[in-house]
Amino acid sequence: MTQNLLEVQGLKTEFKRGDGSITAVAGVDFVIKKGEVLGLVGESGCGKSVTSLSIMRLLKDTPGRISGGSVRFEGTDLTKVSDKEMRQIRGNEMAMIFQEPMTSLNPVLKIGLQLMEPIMLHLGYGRKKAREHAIHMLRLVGIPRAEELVDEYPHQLSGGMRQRVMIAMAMSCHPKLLIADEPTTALDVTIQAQILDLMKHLKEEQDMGMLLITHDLGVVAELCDRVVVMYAGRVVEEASVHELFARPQHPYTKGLIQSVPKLRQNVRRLDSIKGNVPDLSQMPAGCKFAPRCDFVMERCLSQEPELLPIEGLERKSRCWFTQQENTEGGERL
Amino acid sequence: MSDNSAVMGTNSPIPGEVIAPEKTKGRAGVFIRKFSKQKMPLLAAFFVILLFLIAIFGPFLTPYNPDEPNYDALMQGPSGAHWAGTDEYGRDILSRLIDGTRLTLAVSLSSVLIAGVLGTILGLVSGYYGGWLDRIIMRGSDVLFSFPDLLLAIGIVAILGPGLSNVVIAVAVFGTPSFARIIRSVTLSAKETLFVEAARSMGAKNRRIIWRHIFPETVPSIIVNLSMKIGGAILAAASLSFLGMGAKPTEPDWGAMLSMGRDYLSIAPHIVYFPGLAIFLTVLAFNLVGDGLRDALDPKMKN
Repeated sequence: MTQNLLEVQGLKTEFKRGDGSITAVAGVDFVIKKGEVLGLVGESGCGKSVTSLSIMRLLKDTPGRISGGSVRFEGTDLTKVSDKEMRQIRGNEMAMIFQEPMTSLNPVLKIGLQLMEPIMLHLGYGRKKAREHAIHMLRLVGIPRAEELVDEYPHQLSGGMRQRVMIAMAMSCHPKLLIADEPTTALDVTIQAQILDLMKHLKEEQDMGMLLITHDLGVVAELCDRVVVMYAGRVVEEASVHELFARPQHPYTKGLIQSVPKLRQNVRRLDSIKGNVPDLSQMPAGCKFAPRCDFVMERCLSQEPELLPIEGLERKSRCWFTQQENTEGGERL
Repeated sequence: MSDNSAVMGTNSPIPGEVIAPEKTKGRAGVFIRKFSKQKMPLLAAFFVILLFLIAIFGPFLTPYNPDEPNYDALMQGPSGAHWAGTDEYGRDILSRLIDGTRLTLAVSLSSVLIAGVLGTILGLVSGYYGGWLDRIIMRGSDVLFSFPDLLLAIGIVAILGPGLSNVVIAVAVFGTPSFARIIRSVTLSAKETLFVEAARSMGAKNRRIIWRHIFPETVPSIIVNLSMKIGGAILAAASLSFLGMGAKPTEPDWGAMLSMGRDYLSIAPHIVYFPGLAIFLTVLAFNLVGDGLRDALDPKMKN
């Protein structure tokens, strides 16, 4: 048995558009070890969410489809299992929390019923036992008066409470992997901190792996062990969270970190990365980041760099400039 | 914002701001309040209730035996003894109208219910699964749509033979496609909601998602469409009976009464007036109730 919980290799996801197709995820590789929190960072539209939906195989209702690569979950390739097997994995071994807690609960069903469904489905509990388990889960995520809450409707709860309910639902069958797609984006800052604390606490208690998708570097610093930075459907950098913040290698990562406003620094204008993520149907030929990069060289415009490990360090970067700097023994970025 | 309001709701010191549990339980209460604000639909609703009572207690209300001829009182106009006059066999028209209420409601309700159930199932399946199943169902309903309603019903009755039960089938068949379309469109938007995706991410089966999460979303549309369709079904059934393809002439069906009375229009117009008026008022009432339901069930239409 490997110690790797999830191995994503060369994952490619395409969307049909008109007669052609566009590639939203173009060969993504990463690994999540048991009990590890991996952060997946990048701007809007870089393929973070599509990656997570591909892992869960929830692309069915979209024109999207996995066109290559493999997703190994504890050794089994999820791109090859049947729909029925996948349903048994979803919610049971692998669960997901969505960005919008306000709309991810059905407004016309009582909270208890919605919590009980996956419990009855995956753990085979009867109604009464499932209800008890649901109440137990609600207590676990720090919801007061859980016994009463199971008989209430979602609109009676605040956003933070609803996200707690979603976490309780996702955790109810003790998944080995939790995919959290921007779990705190829709919440206000004080609630964000509470939810992050809760997730950290639960993760340690249940010893599960987690894929945290976010564009908030603060959340990454708070929760993650390792970080994968995505740009235009590709992984551009991978590093441990300390390394990443201390010495970002890829110019894109550098730009991301610089664009976070810092306390104690009196700035007039916030730094930002100029330009936008290129349109998926009109990708530049070489490095996809080249048009926005401050360190662009001639080679960058014609040839796409590969994601290569950096010598002597437990990390990878997809950049000609850093690779050149490192081989020449020059100063790092 | 909603964070705020919920916090306010539970801890607010202002008594009026508290979200009381009683208030949230009252979905039905809100509906009744919204519905009863509308005068015409409310009036129509009372008329519909009256019709149902007449249908149930009909035999106790008829002043005369509706089937017994009275050759001493042929084609009499409205009078104290016969409020709506008598027909060409001297039968009391009011008694026949009262007796026919049951027939009219039974035919229209059962055909609309059949159309509703079939259309809902087809619409849910078509909208949720999409693909070739969707294409087959929708093209099939397009074919049915391309016939003028009544012509299609006449065609079906012509194949199955005359009789009220075949009228029910015919009216159900041409009512199904519009149901299927409406439910399909609601399904299409409902399946895109995040809670459906969340349910799927928890490993729920398709059938369960349809039943638990999507079907409840379609219920308001089903109710409104049912009530709107009843009027049309009454008209269609009456038309078929008028054309001699539905009720037998001896049955006290409103459409058949119209048909029989037609021959005496110049000498005894009251024989067609009263059944015609009954059909007109009933169809109008059901349509008004439908309008009222639509407005009361639509969350976008506040006030």
